Amino acid sequence: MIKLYAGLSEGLKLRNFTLTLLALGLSISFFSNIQIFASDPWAHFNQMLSGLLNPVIDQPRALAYDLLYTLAFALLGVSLSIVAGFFLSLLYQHWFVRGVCAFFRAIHELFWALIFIQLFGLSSTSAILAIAIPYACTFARVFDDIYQQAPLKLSEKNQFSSAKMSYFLYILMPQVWQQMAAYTRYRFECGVRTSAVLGFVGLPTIGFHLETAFKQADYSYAGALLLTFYLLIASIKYWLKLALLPLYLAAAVYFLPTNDFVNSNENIWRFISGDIWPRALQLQNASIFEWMAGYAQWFSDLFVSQGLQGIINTLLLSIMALALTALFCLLIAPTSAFLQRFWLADKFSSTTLLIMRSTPEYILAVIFLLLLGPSMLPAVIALAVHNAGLICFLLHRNVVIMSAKEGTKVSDYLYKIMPKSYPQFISLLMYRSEIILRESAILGVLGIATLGFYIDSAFEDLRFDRAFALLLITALLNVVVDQFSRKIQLLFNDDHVRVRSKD
Amino acid sequence: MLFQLCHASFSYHDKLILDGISLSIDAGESVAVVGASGVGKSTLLRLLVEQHSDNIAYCTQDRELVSGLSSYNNIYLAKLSEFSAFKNILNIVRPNKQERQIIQEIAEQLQIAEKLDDSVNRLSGGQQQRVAIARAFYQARAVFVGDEPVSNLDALKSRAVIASILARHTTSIVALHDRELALTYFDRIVGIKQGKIVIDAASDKVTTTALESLYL
Repeated sequence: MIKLYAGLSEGLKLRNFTLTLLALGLSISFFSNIQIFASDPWAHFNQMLSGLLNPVIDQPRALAYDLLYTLAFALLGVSLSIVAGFFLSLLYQHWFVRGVCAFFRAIHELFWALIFIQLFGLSSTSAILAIAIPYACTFARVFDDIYQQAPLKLSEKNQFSSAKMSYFLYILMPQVWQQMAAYTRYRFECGVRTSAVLGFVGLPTIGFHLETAFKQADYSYAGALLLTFYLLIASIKYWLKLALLPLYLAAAVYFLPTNDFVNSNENIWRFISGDIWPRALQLQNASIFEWMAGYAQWFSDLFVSQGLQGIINTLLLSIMALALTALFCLLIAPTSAFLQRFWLADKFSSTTLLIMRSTPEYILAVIFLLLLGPSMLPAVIALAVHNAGLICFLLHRNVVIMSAKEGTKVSDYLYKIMPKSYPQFISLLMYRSEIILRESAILGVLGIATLGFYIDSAFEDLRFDRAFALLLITALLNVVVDQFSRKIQLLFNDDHVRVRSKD
Repeated sequence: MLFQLCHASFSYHDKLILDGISLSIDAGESVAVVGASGVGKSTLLRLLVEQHSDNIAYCTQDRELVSGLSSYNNIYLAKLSEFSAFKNILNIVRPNKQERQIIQEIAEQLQIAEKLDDSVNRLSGGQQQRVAIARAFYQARAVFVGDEPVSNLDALKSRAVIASILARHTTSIVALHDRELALTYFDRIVGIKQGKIVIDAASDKVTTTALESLYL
């Protein structure tokens, strides 16, 4: 690895990195569970496509409620996370807050939902908390990032050392306010996507009926649901205004689904104090040290029997998905730059990119799973399609600006445009690698043997001790991979600035 | 003696900026620091400010204005640490009457009163410069140190601003490009060339030709 990169120019380093990644992805795919199980995927695809393109709404009322709940959960969950994330961002320089945020952020919203459903049932509370907790931790980190990059720094002056609160209000906030608002807006869009996906674990959002429609091969209704979902995402920028937010929040609270399920405090306490710890340990009357030794023994048994296999599969899936994402980007980015010259083709390519990035990985995985049958292949394709769509969208703007200046010939692209945009591309790819890993774990819920598969099975068997321990493993794996991808990102970045996927 | 430098040198990135400078300034003096760009005027001023940073209203060249904040609040923030956090928070919501009154008077003198509620990034370079000067005035210190505080103003306005700087402070040390302004308004001229003081005399003893030679 070192030899491959020592003493090379930046361009060659980037080339070798890409080739290593592609070779790694390809070689893994030979011994991983990558195959098509379905008998005639093309016929099925045609059938699905014709259904999706002829959307039919049988029950407009049910659809309206799906949309309403999806929006209400997203609005309330994200708003709650902004408030919590803002306060956490003020304390983010403290190692403890940073650690807790990294850990909570590493647990996927769907896993949070699985936990909260045990506590609060299929209720609004579960949905809102499942969005709010990981989002708050993400906001804390990104807001802190934004503070650190504020252009004017008067903090060195001892004049302000005693007036922290006032300093924050008068000097920091006016500089970063707009950037924070823009990021918040973007997270609202993410929140709507997350809220939709929460339907797949049973919460009453659009994902719930989407899953049913796909499973019953009612593709016309699935098409209608997807179409309204895209329209909802695309319309956000027109109606989401800060001044109107209180009105929306009030409406969201008013329209929240009512739920009769009320859990007693004793039950909730029993879940935390009893259910999530191995039963065998609770029966003994052991001292704290014996208990810890017993837990360590139990944990390592579980790690060997399930955790290790889950980690390996999660990592293999992530690497294959990352390699395919890179490959898709290398094909799509120049194509979309080329098509940009023709009006109709440009509209087509930008719509395709919009659909690719707006469709959550989870929904794409459900679709490909139906088409291709159960293996890692559908998950790899789903992750690559979504992430390539997002990365190419972000690259597209720069590529278009550059091709106006540098020319539009293939040689211009290869020698002028690609070298300039390549560092940004690798940076974005590394940033997404953390997200791909999170998603790889969660796609196990669909039956691929990644960590999510074992966690979901544990929840289904009501083995909350196992679920809890496996969630710990998943979160730690994510934190480690995040650190690793950050290192790689800095390796190719002179400014030592991490690129976020949207600023 | 208010300020004293003895054979002071200063390097930045292995480049010698100030080369063995000796200078002393008494309370009550008004000094113009003159010289071409990049000869070390700003560095000299910074060394002086470090000697009494708590008693000096210091107007830097890059103005240090917070874009997105109104001119009024940009002036107000000079005294953030002197007021309670509670007062500062209330002032963001609604300007404090007393402080607003003081700042209003300063702004009227500097002809930026009608711009007090505008965000500073919507102001012209000259207006921004006067907001930075207003911030220095608002601190009401005995000593003013300014790094080309009037470089973006026309001749008429420059004169008025320099006059009010001198009137409001017992001691003023100002870096200037305008030789005419330096000779007319200041008691003492310090001329710098290549990191060394080459002129240090009462302004009535310094000729325009001597000043011109600094720029050759």
